[in-house]
Amino acid sequence: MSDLSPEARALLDAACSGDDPSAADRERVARSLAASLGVAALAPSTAQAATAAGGVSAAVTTLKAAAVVLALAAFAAGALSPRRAPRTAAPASAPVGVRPSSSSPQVAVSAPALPRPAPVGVAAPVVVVAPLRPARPTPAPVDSLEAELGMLGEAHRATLGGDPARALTLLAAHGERYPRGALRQERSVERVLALCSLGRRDEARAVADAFLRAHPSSPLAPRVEASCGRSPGPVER
Amino acid sequence: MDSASADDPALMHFGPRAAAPAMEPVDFSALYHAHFAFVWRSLRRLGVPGPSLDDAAQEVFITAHRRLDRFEGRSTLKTWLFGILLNTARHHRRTLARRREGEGLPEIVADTDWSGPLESIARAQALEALHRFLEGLDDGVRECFVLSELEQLTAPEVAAATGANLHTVHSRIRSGRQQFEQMVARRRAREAWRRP
Repeated sequence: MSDLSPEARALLDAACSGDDPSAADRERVARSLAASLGVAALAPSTAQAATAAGGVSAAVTTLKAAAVVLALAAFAAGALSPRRAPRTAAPASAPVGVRPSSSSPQVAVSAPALPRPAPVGVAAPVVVVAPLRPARPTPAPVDSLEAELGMLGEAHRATLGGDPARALTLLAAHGERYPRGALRQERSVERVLALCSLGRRDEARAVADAFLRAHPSSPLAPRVEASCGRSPGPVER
Repeated sequence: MDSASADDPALMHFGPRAAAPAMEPVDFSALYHAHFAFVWRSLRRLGVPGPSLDDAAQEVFITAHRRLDRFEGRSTLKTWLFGILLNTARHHRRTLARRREGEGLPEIVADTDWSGPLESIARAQALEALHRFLEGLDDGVRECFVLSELEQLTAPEVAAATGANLHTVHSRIRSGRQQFEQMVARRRAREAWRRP
């Protein structure tokens, strides 16, 4: 239903995936949520979970992502190589293998449901959410993108200038300063490139794999796929 | 009207239940995993700052969990959830606005000499432009623009999610698009000016 000009649409599309959460975001909030609701854990995401995405529009929006996920899965099956276990070792952290459901707006999910809370009265109770990080200093949300970008640019120039070790230091600092910054994806890509420059292919592969698991449909995914972290190169067989 | 639905445009909009269709129960874990990304990015686009995203997303799902037995399937779960997250986002924005009062918003300078991967620069700049743009919109226009242009919902779905009537929704979407086109034109003009 969009009447936007192609130029405007292109800008929106370019920005589109930048606001998506990572698999780590999903798992972290799931853990806090389970704690707040007083249940042991939320069931891990499965392809079945996606069937809860009711409605034609949801199916349409996931269609494109699904195509990318499937294409990547096919690629991974063909180019499977020994992988280093992810540092966080969260078995449930695989991203949802999104499969669009049929366009039924009704939900049909057979996974065991969480216990429901006792029905509440007419008055809406106040939601009390335990703050996740009580005394954490909050960075300025508005001007941080420029600072993020500047720091990332410095790291990129360090790699280009033949000092990838310095780039890694800068990227680590970036990660500490902006753990959930808007440019997390770029940071991961820069890490892969710096590690490749240093010939540390195993580490590059671990970062690349984690990136592709968390952001399978990122516009940056092709770049990671093309890096030494994924492509067979001259360094090893 | 009870106070629970009074603050929930999605529920408020559904009206009295007619012949109740036989609904399968909605599994909460499945709902969480299917809609987490939507909830997260929508909160962000509606102006919830990064450090508050975890808490805000959690609030949305706690409210959804509490009200799940009142979901009647008159709309999709997605639009129902949006009704809930709208209130959460408004609350967080109000809190943020109070904190910033008197401080003045820092100006973002989009110019950067980062020579990173080309697609990264384009993406980062587009994201920044989008956030700046959304920040400058009126609340109602922002909500309609996010749902229609970024989530590709139809106008009636946007109406159900926001609780606004269809006419208002159409005019807000139109206004959002016009303002977005103007922003794009301004960017183009600036870039042309910069070129040697």
